[in-house]
Amino acid sequence: MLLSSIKINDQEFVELKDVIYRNSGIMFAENKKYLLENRLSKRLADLNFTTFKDYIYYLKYDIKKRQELDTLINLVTINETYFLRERGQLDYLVSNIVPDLIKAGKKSIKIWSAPCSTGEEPYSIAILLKNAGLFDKASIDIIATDINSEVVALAKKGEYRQASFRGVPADFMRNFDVQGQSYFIKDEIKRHVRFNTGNITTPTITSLIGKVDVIFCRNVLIYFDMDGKQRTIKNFHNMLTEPGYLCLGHSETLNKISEDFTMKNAGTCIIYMKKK
Amino acid sequence: MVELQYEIKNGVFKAHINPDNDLSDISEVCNIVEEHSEVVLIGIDLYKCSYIQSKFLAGLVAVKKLAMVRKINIELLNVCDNIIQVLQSTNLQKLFVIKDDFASYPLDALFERFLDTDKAGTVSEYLAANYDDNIQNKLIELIDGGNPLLVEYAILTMGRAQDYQNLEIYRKALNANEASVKSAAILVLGWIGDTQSKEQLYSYLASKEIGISEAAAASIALLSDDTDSEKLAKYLHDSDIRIRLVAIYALSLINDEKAFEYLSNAMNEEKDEAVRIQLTKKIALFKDERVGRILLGLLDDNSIQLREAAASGLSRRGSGEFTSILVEKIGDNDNWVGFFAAKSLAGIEDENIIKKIESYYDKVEQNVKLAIIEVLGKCKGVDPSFLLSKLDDTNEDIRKEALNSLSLMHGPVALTAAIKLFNKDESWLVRYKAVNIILEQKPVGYDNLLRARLKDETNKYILEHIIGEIGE
Repeated sequence: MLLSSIKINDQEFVELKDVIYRNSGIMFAENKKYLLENRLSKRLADLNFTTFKDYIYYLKYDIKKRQELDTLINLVTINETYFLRERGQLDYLVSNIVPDLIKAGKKSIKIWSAPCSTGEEPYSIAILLKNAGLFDKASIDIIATDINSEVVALAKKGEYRQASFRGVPADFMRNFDVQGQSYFIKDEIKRHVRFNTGNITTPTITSLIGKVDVIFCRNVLIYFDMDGKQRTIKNFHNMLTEPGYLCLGHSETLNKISEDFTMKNAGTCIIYMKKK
Repeated sequence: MVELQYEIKNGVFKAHINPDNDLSDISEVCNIVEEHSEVVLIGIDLYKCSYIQSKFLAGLVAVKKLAMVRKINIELLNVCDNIIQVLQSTNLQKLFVIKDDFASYPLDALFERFLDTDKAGTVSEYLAANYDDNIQNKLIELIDGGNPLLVEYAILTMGRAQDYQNLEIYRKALNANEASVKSAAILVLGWIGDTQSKEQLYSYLASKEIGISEAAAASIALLSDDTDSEKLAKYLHDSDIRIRLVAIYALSLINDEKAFEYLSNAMNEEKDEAVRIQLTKKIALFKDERVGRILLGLLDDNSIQLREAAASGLSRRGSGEFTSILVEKIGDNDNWVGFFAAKSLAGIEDENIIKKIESYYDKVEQNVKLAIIEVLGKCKGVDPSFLLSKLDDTNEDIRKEALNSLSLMHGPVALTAAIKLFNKDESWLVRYKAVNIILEQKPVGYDNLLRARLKDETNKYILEHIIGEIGE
């Protein structure tokens, strides 16, 4: 809040975004320049640098460059989120998708939240499934993945501040233990979610996660270039069982990215289904 | 059919596109701009559009072509992610500058942006710059609503707008449970100069929330009088490292002679490395003539991080009377000290010193070599032959940096080199720098030169850069 941001020039921006792209698959468009300035200025100041060029040289020539690259990726991939975000799809999961899968004879259901950021999405899913009594009707495994090792550690800890709760109903808060300004997710919810670190754009993610029935990948495709989007969606297609469900962010679409899914208008939300 | 809405103000043509506008409407943009020779910037505002038809894209390309002919800029404003994806998939994104223009947003939509921590500051600044009774009333409603994210930025916005009228709101917010709201209130009380709250702000210096303690330090500095340096200096001896760090921060913001004395004395007494590093960084921010010597002395400290902080401080101040010592430091065992020492020598005119700087080149690590090349571009009377010899180096950053330094001091030489490297260098980083130099100098036929490269160029960043400039 207090630090004025260090400005990045065009050459520095293109060099840094290439470093980030090669190491995360995330492509920062020109209109996201401010985001790099906001998120990295403090890091530059901590390292005594006053320009992004110096920082880029640090990433290339310092003895601890590998470690710094991890720090960089962690700083730029933090995706702020909150509980019950874009609730329409979550409700549809609980009221339609999972019951339909159970009706079709599925004994074991896998739901993947990627990227999961600090865990609000997978825990929201777990809470809603529990409230609907669905954990008693099938073995439901919620897997949550993020490229950012720091946010995964936070998600595992399950400690939240008030900013993670925006307009959630009062009874939702029963799933948390309150200590001072912190809200800790209860163990009975936590145990339903498995967290891991991984990059959803790489082919190795398919073997890391295996087959899944439902994928939540919301508000992240916007950060990939067309190639990254296509690779990611191809991975998803390979990982999904049949029927397989894909939930994207409300402003995201598969138009011009993939023809392997059909779009289903579920009333308050859009769901993509794997084509047979 | 919806009629095209537009306005022309101060040479800026702005069209507010509706999803129902079609190709004929975007063609109308061309007609209107052609009729108005005073237009120097075209803005196409897509705030109301969550999608665009493909025909409309063709129209946008026509407007871009017109802008190229007229040599004026075109910006796409308030483009949603859906449309950005369409522009990406059709390879058209590179043709346009894409920006936010908050003037098109209704107030409630702007307030929603407070929830996006990366955008909230910019929106808050916009609202403060356009502050009126309506905004003020809506912000008070947000504060009453109690959502901590909204309350935080509502308070910050009122503070940025120097709204003294609602002083009690900020004072009351000091009791908020949420740390971010409390920090915002503390900052705003400093911004609006509420000296009555100063004593209370001292109690927040020891807060466990770093945001609160830093905000308190910043506001105490803003509200400070002759007595505050002394009061803060007592915290420099606190047993809690965190409190010593906050006191250093506050004193560096006060930045007067007393504050300097306290900090430089603390430097002699302090034992903790992290605190000493912080002291070094903050002492470097003072204008006092003793600063240079203090930092110079710290270049021999046992702590690597402290030496680097001192060298960085010196590089920002410039070498001044310590030039000869800093030249020697280029060869320091710690290559980041060498890096910053080299950078401190910008502006040198003495030929012998320049030769001495050059003489270190073969003895130092790559990062120091880069700093040497960079600083030579900022010295006067440097013979270009040294830099020209680096254009064949195996390291792409060395070639890029040499090209840049040449462009700063020997324009025509740099242009010749840039044209050669633009076509032949295997590194896209070097070719990208070459494009920049060509665009800066714009020699006759530069556009044809860039256009000719399009068929062989494989790097997407360079292709986007060239296409964005020549509009192909």
